[in-house]
This record gives sequence, structure tokens and C-alpha cells, in this order.
Amino acid sequence: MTVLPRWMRVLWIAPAGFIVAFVAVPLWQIAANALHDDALQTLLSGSTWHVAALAAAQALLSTVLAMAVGLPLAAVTCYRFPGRALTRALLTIPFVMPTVVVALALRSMLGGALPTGIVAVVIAHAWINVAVVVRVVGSQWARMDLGYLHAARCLGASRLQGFRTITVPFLRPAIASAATVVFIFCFTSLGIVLLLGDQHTKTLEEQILRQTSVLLDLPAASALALAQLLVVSVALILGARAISTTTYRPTTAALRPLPASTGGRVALFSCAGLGAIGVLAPVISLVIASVSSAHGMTWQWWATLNSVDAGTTRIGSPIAALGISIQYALITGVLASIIGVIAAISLLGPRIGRWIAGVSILPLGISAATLGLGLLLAYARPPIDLRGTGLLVPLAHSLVAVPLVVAVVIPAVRSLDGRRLGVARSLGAAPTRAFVTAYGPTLAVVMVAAGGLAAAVSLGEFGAASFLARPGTPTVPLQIVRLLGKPGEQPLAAAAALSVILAALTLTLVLLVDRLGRRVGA
Amino acid sequence: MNREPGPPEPEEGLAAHDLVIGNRFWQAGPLNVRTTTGQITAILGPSGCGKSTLLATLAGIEPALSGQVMLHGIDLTDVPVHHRGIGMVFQEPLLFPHLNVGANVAYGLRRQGVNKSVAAQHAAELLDWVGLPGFADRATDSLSGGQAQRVALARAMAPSPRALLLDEPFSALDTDLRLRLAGEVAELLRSRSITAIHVTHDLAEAHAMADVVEQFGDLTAR
Repeated sequence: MTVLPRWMRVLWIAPAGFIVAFVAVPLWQIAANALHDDALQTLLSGSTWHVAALAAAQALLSTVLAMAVGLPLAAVTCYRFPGRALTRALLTIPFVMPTVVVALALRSMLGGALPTGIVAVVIAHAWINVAVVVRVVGSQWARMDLGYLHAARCLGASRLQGFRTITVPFLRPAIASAATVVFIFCFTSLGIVLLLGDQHTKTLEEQILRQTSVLLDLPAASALALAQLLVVSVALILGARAISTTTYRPTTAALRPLPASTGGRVALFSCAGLGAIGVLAPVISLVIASVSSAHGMTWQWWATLNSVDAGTTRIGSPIAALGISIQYALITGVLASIIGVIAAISLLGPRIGRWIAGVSILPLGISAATLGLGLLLAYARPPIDLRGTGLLVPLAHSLVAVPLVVAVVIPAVRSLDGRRLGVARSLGAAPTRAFVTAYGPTLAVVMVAAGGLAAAVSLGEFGAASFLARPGTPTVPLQIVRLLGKPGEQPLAAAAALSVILAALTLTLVLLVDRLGRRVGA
Repeated sequence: MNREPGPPEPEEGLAAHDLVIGNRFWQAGPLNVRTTTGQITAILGPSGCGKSTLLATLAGIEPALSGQVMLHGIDLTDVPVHHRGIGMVFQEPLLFPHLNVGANVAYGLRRQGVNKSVAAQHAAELLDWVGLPGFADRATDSLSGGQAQRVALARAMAPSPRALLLDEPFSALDTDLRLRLAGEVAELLRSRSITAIHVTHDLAEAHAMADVVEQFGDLTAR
């Protein structure tokens, strides 16, 4: 292909270098540390695999609950009804919400009724991941040709039999991939487990953090990270196998008309309504928690957000964390969008570039703690110590964001019309000018959208930051967790207020990205 | 090529009385359809006139807005699709891609509770009948368009339906094949004396298939 001007055909080196430096080298460091004698004992010890088993059981339960709630909602989103777009948007909110905010929101809604431990963790995980099920399974469901079901009904299948023998096989690949994503998310959960869990809901992720920051045993932490990578790889392989290759010819997604029967409509609207309430109730409770005290409504928590006394460090108020988070989010947005967009553009170039685009999605399967620990091992001690630069956290956040950015940008790059380039060239434009004329406007929009998405990821990210942020400069999620560790009414309310700000910022960014994304068909 | 009906007083097959079809935005009717048991009736009409909706309503896939669907004098209007015993072959073969050819044909029998090996044997016989012996183990995406429609016919006939609806089943094929297949399918259906309604916009196809040819537009007149 001659789409890319010559100098752009080597641009893949940038994302490749980024991945090598900040994924491959840290992973190698983890492996080197883990294959140390004492660390090997940790890797092979019963307690490690006991935690892995607990986490796997918890993740399975969470996945089952997310499916049980998500599948009916996925079905609902296939119908055309007033409020459908709003319902779909609402259902996505929990997934883009920072995990520590989720934990706090559920806590403020259920209060004492929510026992910490497995029940709370599973509910929180399901609440977040219903969005994945609705998006992944719902979009596949909407593409199913109803003719297959009609054929089955005419052959004597009841409604239920039709669902079991036709719809379920059709949805199986989508269900398998959603389940894989949800399982891995829950298996490597950190923020939720720290805030809502007990000794029965440990995850390896949480153990990695404990070994690193409390016990200061980096080899043991590395061994745990390796164990977790193993389990995640097995889950990915099993998932890929279940995503079978049966090819139903997908029809273009056409929304279905409302069911004719009153019962069907009542069921549909009550599902949609319950889904919306389920999403909104914890969010509203969180807002209320930030303005209530034992003596009624009050703005005092918001007013004291700016005071150093209300903070968890001697040098910063709760609101100071916001400044730090925004600064990190800006750096992440710029870095991740540049790397991600270049990686996606590499698709248009030589074969190696296409390979790079694929590789740049890889960090998605690597947990936040693994990335954090790896960066800590590789770049937070001599010979290379980046701790003083304040770049470690945004670097880690970029690693988390790049796969998402690439996933968003690739469809936009694929949709670029190559003929435009031909037209520009035929009008006498040099290769670079032709590329800019033909693709520039789309890519500019995509770049801004990608940057916004990366910034949103950075704002809410907790896992990697808890490894890399320095005690004096906590990000907002870290500040929230620390506030929750302090006794009394004020820290809790301050955490709620801070959470409201963080959630509002994140949602605004995501909405913006969604708008821009739709403009370029991504 | 109209045939003399066999019995002196022809028995009524599948029929519609003052049937109104459509949805909130579009209606057609009242329509009156009469067919004779064991005969093939073609209904001819331009695209978009409501032929397919009529068949879907007769099969029970779409609800009737008013009027009745009758089979051998029994009112089926409120009987759900899967209890009507009316088979259907669609414009597209709609073979289930996760099942092989044999399992597709056996699908209806399995829903009746026939055990797997008996159903498979019966499916093999039906595949012989439509001229595709030994195709049971093939994947559905290995079939040509004409072969796929034959499998769809075998599948529709497997649960021994009391009537068969054919919704432009050959429209996706090229002209030569279409007329040849229409003739063959007509022979097959006659060999089983099944009551059938075949809708099409193609006059030649209608005549190649049917004992009786009706115009869709005439159904409202009665």
C-alpha cells in the first residue's frame, strides 16, 4: 500500500519503542525478580494459589451476576422505544466510573445494609460490568436475523426452545467474549476489593500491592504478578476457544419494533426502568452523602475541601489532589493519543506496522498492579530513576489507556476513504500534503477524542497510581481511599464530595468523546 | 397445467376469511384465500404488495389484525406458530449455521421429541427425496444456493406439516435454475399430496409450480 508518505512508514517505531520500554522491559524485570529463589517459593506456595482460587471464585460469581442482570438488559436495547438511547447511555455510566467512586457510591446507598465481603464485592463488580454485557452482547443480539427464529418456530419450536436452540448459539461468541473480559476485570480487581472486601475476597492484585508497599518484598510481589499473568492467560485462551468460529451472516443492526402484547411491553419497560434506577440510585446516594451530616443538609464538606486540615497529607488539601490528577490526565491524554493514533495509523503502512497495532492492544490483558510494579522495578531505582520527574504515573496511565485509544481509533482509520487520497494526489499534492488533506480533519478529531478518553482513564485509575504516586502527591482516587481510612464523619463526607467531582469530570469527558467519536464514525 | 381435483367434492385446505394483515402503519385486506387439500396454489403479486406478510400471518409469525385463518375447517387464528403444523420455506434458506445439513433437517423432528438417531435417519431419507443423498454431514455454508433451498424444503417437510407455505423460495436464484427447481419442487410436493401456497412475483414460476394461480389483488374482491 502506498497510502502513507514515506516518512510516515517508519512511524511505527514510536509505539513499538514505547511498548518495548514500558511494557516489555518492566515485564522482564518482573520475571527476573520472580525467578529468584525466595520468590519462586512464593510462586509455588499454597497461600498464593489459595488467594488465586478465592479470586477466581469471586470473579466467577461476579461474572454470573453481571450476566444475569446484563442479558435481559441487552435484549431490551434491541428494541426501538422512546428513551432507548438514554437507557443505553445510563447503563454505560458504571463502567466509566472510577472504581473507588463505585465502591463509595454503593456504600453510601446501602450503608450498614451492605456487609463488607464477598456480597459487596460481587454486587459492585456486577454493577460495573453489566455495561460490558449490554454493549457486547446487545450489539450482537441486535444483528441477529429474526428469520432464523421464525424458521425455528414454524418447525415447531416454542418461544423458549427457539431461544435455547437458535438465539443462544448465535449469542455464544459474544457471551464468551463479554464473560472473559468481565472475569479478568473481577479477578484482577483492586479498588473495589480494598474498599468493600474482607479476608475472603483477596485478589492477587491486592496481594501484589501489599507485598510492594507494606512488606517491601519486591521479589514476592513479582512472583504474585507472574502467577496472576498465568491465570489471566489461561482465562484468555479459554475465552478465545469459546468464541467459536460459527458464522451467522450478520444482518445490519435494525432495531426491533416494540412487542405487540401488553405483557411484552410491560416486561420491556420495567426492565429498562429497573436498569436505570439501579444505575442512578447509588450515584444519587453519593451526591446526597456529600451534603449530609448528622444534623441535616450541609455544604460544610464542600466548603472545607480546600483546607489542608481536611486532607491526608500535611502539604495538601483534598482539592489539591484534583490539581495533581488533572495534570496527570493532561499528560496522559497527550501521550496516549499520540502513541495510540500513530499505532492505529500504522495499520495503513507496511506489515510490521499492522503487527504493532495489534501488539499495542496487549497491555489490556496486563493488570494495573503488574504495570505499576513493573515500572517501579524498571524505572524507580538506579540506574534509571524517574520518580522525581512526576512522569511515572502518567506513563502507567498511558499504558492503560493506549489499548483503549487504539481500539477506538482503528475503526475510524479503517473507515478512511482511500479514494480521497487519490483525488488529492491527482490534483498535484505531494504525498504528505495529500495525506494531510485527505485524512487530516478526521484524524484531528480522532486525536482529540482519543486524548479525552485517555484523560478520563487517567482521572479514575487507582491501581497503578497506588504503586507509583509519591506520598505527598496523591491523585484523587488515592486521596479518596486515604480519606476513607480516617475515622469520623468529615473524611467520609469529603471523600464523597471529591468522588462527585471526579465522577462529574469523568462523565463529561466520556460524553465529549462519545460525541466526537460519532462524528467520525468510530 | 390445471389438474382435475381428485375427490368429487374438493376438501378445503388452508384458508383465510376476511383476514386483515399488516401493522400499525400499514394494512391490507380483508383478504379471502381458499385452497384445496393436496393442491398447490400460487399467489401472484408485485413486490411489496403484502404477499410475504400474508404468508407470515397464515403461519402465525405475524398476528392477524382481524379475520380468521382456517386449516381443514379448524380455526387456527389464536394457535401459536409452533402448534399450527404449517411449514414454511423462506426467500432465504435460513439454514441454521451452527448445525450441519442433517441436523437442520432433523430440527423439527427433534422439537417433536423424536430421538436423535431416528430423526437423523428420517432426515437422511428426506435428503434423498430432495436429491441430496449423503449431504447430512455437510456444513451449511458448503452448499450452493439451489442446494440450500432444497435442504430448506426437506427441513420444512420433516415434521410432516399439514400445509406448506413457500415465500418466493427461488427468487435468489438465476432464471434457468429457478424454473427447473420450481418444476422439481412441484413434483416433490405432489408426490406427497401436500397443500401448499406459493407466493411469487414471477408469472412463469407460478405456472411452473401451481395447480391454481391467483392474483393477490383479487383476494380482496371476494
